[in-house]
Amino acid sequence: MIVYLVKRLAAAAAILLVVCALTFAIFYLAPDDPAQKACGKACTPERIEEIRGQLGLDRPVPEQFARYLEGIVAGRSYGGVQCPFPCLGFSFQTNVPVQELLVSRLPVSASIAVGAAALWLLTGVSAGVLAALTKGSWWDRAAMAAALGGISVPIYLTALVLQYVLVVVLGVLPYPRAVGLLEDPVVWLQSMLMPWVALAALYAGMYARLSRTEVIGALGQNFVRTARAKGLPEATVVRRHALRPALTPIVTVFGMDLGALLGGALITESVFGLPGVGKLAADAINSSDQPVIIGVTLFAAGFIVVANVVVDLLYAVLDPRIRLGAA
Amino acid sequence: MSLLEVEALTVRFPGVTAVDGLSFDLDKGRVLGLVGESGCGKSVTSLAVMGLLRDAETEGGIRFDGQDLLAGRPKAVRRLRGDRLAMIFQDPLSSLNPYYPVGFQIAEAYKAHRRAGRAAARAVVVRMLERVGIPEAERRARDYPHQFSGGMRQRVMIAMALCLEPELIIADEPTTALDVTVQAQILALLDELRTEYGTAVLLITHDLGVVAGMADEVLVMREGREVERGEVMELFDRPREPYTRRLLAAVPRVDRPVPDRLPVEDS
Amino acid sequence: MRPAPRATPPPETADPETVPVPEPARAVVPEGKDAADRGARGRSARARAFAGRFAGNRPALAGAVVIAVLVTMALAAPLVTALTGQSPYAFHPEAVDPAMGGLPRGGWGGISAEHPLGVEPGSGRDVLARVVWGARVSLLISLLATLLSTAIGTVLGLVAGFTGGWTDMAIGRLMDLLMSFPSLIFMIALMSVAPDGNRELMLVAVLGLFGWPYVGRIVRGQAMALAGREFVEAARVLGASRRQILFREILPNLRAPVMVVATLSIPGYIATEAGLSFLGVGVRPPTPSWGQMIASAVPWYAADPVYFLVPGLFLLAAVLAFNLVGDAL
Repeated sequence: MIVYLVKRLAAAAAILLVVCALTFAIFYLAPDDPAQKACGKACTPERIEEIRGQLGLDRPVPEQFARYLEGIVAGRSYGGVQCPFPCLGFSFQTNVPVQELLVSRLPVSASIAVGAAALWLLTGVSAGVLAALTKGSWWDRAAMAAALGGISVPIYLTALVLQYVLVVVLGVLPYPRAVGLLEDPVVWLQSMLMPWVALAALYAGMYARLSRTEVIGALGQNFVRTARAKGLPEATVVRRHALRPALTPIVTVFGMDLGALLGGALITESVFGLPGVGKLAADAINSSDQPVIIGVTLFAAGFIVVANVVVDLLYAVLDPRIRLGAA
Repeated sequence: MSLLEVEALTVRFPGVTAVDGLSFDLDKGRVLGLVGESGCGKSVTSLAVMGLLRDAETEGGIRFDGQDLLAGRPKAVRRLRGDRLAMIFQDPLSSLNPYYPVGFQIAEAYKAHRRAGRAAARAVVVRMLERVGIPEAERRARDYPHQFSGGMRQRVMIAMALCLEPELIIADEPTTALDVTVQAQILALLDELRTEYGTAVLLITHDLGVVAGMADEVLVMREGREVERGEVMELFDRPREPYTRRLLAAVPRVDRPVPDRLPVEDS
Repeated sequence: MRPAPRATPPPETADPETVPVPEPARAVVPEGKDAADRGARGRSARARAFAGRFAGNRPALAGAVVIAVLVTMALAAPLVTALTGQSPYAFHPEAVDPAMGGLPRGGWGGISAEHPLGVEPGSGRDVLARVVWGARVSLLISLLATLLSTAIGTVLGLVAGFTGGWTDMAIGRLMDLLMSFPSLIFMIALMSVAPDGNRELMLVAVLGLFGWPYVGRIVRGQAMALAGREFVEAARVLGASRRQILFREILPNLRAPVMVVATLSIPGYIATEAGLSFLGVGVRPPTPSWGQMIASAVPWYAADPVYFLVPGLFLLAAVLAFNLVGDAL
């Protein structure tokens, strides 16, 4: 177990390092000159040189990478301007430290991700389990058709149709606004409802299909036959011996998906105009704001890598074969 | 009246008849060996008796202690299952749930049929594990299936099947998945326990050596039908059917030279 | 004796573990009437088995038809625009109403005899022409990305699974890394700094780069399993060279699984390409792509819903069709 833990943590650290190296490479080796970008359109060559010095662009590449890493783990200074830990640089557009931007945008992304996740987990898994238990029935076929539709509809289409019908035509919901849960719970809920449904429609389809396959697979296992041979009531057989092994892999997939969404739902946030991390990234792309793009990339990668570790630990807790070492 | 009466049992899967009009009886405390090559329908027969077949069409009669298992109410049949008739499966690793300690899985069988508190069930589990020869039973009960060796796992399966002292045990290839040295130990244990409890055994195997050591009576099956049936010694000494003779000749023996040609079916 | 955790989930239809089906159950299709064309049996039998799987599956058949229609449409894009006389790039200021902020005249997205699917608000470009040319871009990119990822995945998977040892370790680690990577956000970052040049080829490269491990993982596993099989053993004993074993014994047996992964990856690439173009890092205007058309429809969606519905429904149809066919394989 300890060995397993150490291995997982080492792998996570390695991935984070590679992610840093790649983002660094994209940032510094891209054709655009960062100094030119930072300075803006009308800029004298002297000013650009000055900025190059501030950003450390005149140093050798390995040293730049070392400084970059140092900035992330300990903070650094850019030509006298202090950039505290974890330093991801300053936005070219607003000159605000990128990490400040990220922190201020996280609550919106988290609200969207957690609500949607709860919704799809509840609907998707129960639909899939029910479909597996009634394999071949009309419910099974209807649920699987709906699931296939759900995973095939592009999220921006769902989002636009929802907003068009519910807001523009029917007027039952207002346009989503960025309001804190504690500020105004009613508006918060009204704003979150559409993003939740749009995201959940996509993921619920995936989860329904996955849980159906897993439950059917588990029901075919020999140990389920053993449980029936013991004379256990069928409900106990299903709940204890089929669902437990079937849902364990789903927990891990769920952890990964939630982790990825916490790093920003770019499309959903853009369509609904909600200022989360994803919207930040989308806007940064449109304005070529490199430090912000790189910052969001690292931030999202961090969430995914952390989710990976959490999921691996969770798997060890849930599956005794991993916890106690397979024979 | 015999303990188990199977009458003209026919089992059909979509497109294929696996068992075709098979009949046999099994008396209290006796051991019947059901023998045949793989695919002859012997495993399907055992699953039919346990009521564990799915997506199959079953005809004929299966009576246990006079009670009709095929036509009986599902709930009543389920009450019998595990309590008065129990089963030991071929592959103990996949037949045990990897997510629960073995003690829990034995206790679960016990508690499905007896009102028992945690402590009482626990006592039964430890006693059974000791009885099947698992050292440090108290501690091992908390271990998971993957922490046991193949032979030990099959001992767990036997403990699970015997914890309610059933009148009939169906053992479906109980030693096929095990190492040869372990096979003998498991068979000896099974034989010892069934003598002790007076349990009838329906022993399903393709291995004639296993049958010779344990069964009172043998039923040879082929393509879902009975080929020959008789007391074990008599059948081994004087097989009436050519198929049985070929089956017996196919067993490698150390006390005879290897034949030049393997016995082939003459058509 | 041998711990056998379930490597791949068992097929959902059969239940081999509780129902030991005797040999005759696997009876093959009677050969009867087609005995004449025995000569070409190998290929046609496979084609028939393929068709047989589809025959009973109406949704998959519908999916195949939709794919055929979309592909024909994409191939015939120059013909379509020649017939309607509309270029995907030509502005039609007369079709939009500047007084209404550039909304198409006549409501319904400007649908008319001249512009059967309406016009783009603002510019008045013909939507039908842009949709069919957009189909070209969307389908071509996803197809090429599939080819690229399948090629890389097959080669590296084969090498890893067959060679083992150090090579296997290195390739395996690389696949693990790429698969636990935040690939979408990385694609966005990469594409956002990519030079303006051939955006389409860049997309293919990026999609293929992050997509191949999913093919590679399966090929590697299959190759490892096959390398230990008796017929490969037999070929080796007969003195076949490594190259012969790889190409004659192993590769042909990988065709089916690779086909399935490839088919299932196409809808993913279509959706990802559209998503990237939607976010503004994929195909850039004026080149039309479905995702990019939807993106340009967002500011207009309330006043002109037809303009986002048209490319949206084409995209949905394509993804759904490929999913239906992939599910049937």
